Amino acid sequence: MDDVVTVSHLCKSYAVGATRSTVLRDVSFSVRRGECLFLVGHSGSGKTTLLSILGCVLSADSGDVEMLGERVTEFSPAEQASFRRHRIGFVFQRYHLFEALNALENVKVPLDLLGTEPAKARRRALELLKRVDLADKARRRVTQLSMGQRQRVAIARALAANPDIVLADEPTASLDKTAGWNALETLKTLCREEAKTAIVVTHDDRILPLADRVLTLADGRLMESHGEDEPPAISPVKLKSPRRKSIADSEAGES
Amino acid sequence: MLAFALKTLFCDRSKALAGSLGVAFSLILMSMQGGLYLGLMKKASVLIDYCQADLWVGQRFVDNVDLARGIPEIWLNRLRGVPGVADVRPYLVGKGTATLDGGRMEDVWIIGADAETGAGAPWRFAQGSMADLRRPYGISFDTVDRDKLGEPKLGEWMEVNGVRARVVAQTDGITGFITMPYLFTNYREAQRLTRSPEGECSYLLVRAEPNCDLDTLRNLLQRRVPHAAVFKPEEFAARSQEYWMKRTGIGISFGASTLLGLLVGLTVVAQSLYALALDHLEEYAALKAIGADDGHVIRIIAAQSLTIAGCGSCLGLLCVSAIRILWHNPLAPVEIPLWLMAAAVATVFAICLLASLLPFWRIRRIDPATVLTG
Repeated sequence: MDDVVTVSHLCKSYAVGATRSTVLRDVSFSVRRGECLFLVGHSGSGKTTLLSILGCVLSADSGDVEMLGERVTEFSPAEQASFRRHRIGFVFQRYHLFEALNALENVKVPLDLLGTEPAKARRRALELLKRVDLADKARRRVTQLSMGQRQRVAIARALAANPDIVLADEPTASLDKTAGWNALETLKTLCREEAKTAIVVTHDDRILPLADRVLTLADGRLMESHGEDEPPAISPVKLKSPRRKSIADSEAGES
Repeated sequence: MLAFALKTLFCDRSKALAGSLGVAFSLILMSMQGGLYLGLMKKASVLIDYCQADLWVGQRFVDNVDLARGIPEIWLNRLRGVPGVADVRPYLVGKGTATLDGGRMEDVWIIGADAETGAGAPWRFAQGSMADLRRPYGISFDTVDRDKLGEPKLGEWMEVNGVRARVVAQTDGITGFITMPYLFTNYREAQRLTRSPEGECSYLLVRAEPNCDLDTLRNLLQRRVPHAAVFKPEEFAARSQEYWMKRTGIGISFGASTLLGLLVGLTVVAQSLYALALDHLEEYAALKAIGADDGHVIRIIAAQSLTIAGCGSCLGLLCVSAIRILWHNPLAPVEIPLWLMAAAVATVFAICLLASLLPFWRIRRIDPATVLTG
């Protein structure tokens, strides 16, 4: 498999008062096409900063990021926006759905940004909602949906514009164990079916079994890499997947 | 992105309503100020606008139809022989002072229309007619001047410039720019009342032959009476209006209040859109994170802004239409032609687009990275 993301010697620091706080220190790794990579680490370890740089919403101080053959660290803000629009899908921790819109319209937004023909955009959005088992809720405003349903709308939205890479930031943080597992499983399934690469930032150990590979960040450094042949050093209990409940069951459990 | 723009706008109805009311207020103010201005300007040329003359001949330096200067009446013989002239009649516009009961005095205009053809006669009567004004001593007064003239009744006598005249007709809503009462009478009676020198009139009213080219005829008349000024009605009307506009500065005062209305509209719409943008900053950050650029953002805000402009314009136009129907006051006429309404609507749309720059400026500063910070 070829690499779709190559990160080389990435450094990032922020000004904190008169001093600077270094968040990423010489981080290097690569991600293969179709891979589902998890970035884990404690709060403040730099994983969200790394995701922001990969998502072209933050610039690095030094180092290179090559994504899909393009050096995104050299992009102008307009080029970054265009790259995000065309090549990247986002799943945010707090969903960031558009509350005035219904589920269908939310999923259509990335397609509208691309100027996709309305009928075609509608078909694609409906198809994705069907695949996340929300076709019957397409006309519901997102504020009328449960948290798990909202996250699945967000997953559908992330995939709507047919991006090459999906970036997910703590996608299970607002969900219970089962709903979180289901949401991530849905994301992984969709990414696999559509041959997308997924990079998931999480500190939720419960979903790690869904990863193809796990990278651990600590204090801005890449500590270890666990591939399929190299399981992460997490307790077997934590790696145990929850019983796969139906989506309806999991949502009934949410409040 | 239209669904996002409109649904985001209407999910907060209070802000959408506030913006629309601001636009409606702005549009009503502009239309009313413009309408009052046009109404006043129309009063400055009312004698010209309702006269059937094809060309006006007056003193060379005349600036205003009301402030006429004398010209020889005999010139009409020179003009009658010009090819294309169907008829020429003298017309008199003079000043006078009416003496009222109790010794009170009121300055008036005395308008002498041609008794035979009725050229320059009143066009709207409440009582009586031009036939009554042909009678010796016969004069009219206007309904709006009833109080000023001591509530005269038909058949009563009135003293103008020390000369007796009899009230025989009442016109309806005929008043000039400075609201001095117009007393209509026939030409000979007007000469008597104004004590004009023998053989002097204010204007010669020319009626052209059918299908005659008025520009050509005007040039011919000008050559025949080189010491006079020959005007087409619209030119003389514009000249009369310009006189009052420049002398009184009325254009500046109406322009300033219209500008104020525009600024109020601009402020309200900008404030509403800005508050709406502040309420949805996170959503705009998410939108930018998923790839929206400045072009997308400006289109969204412009769509919201134009929607507010559309709603406000509909509301404002309804009010303006009601005002047009309900407002009948000859002293302060409101003339709101369609072109004025269209111009007011176009202006508020432009103002709303301008107002959208404020929220755009704020949203432009949003860092899309904020949505990834949890």
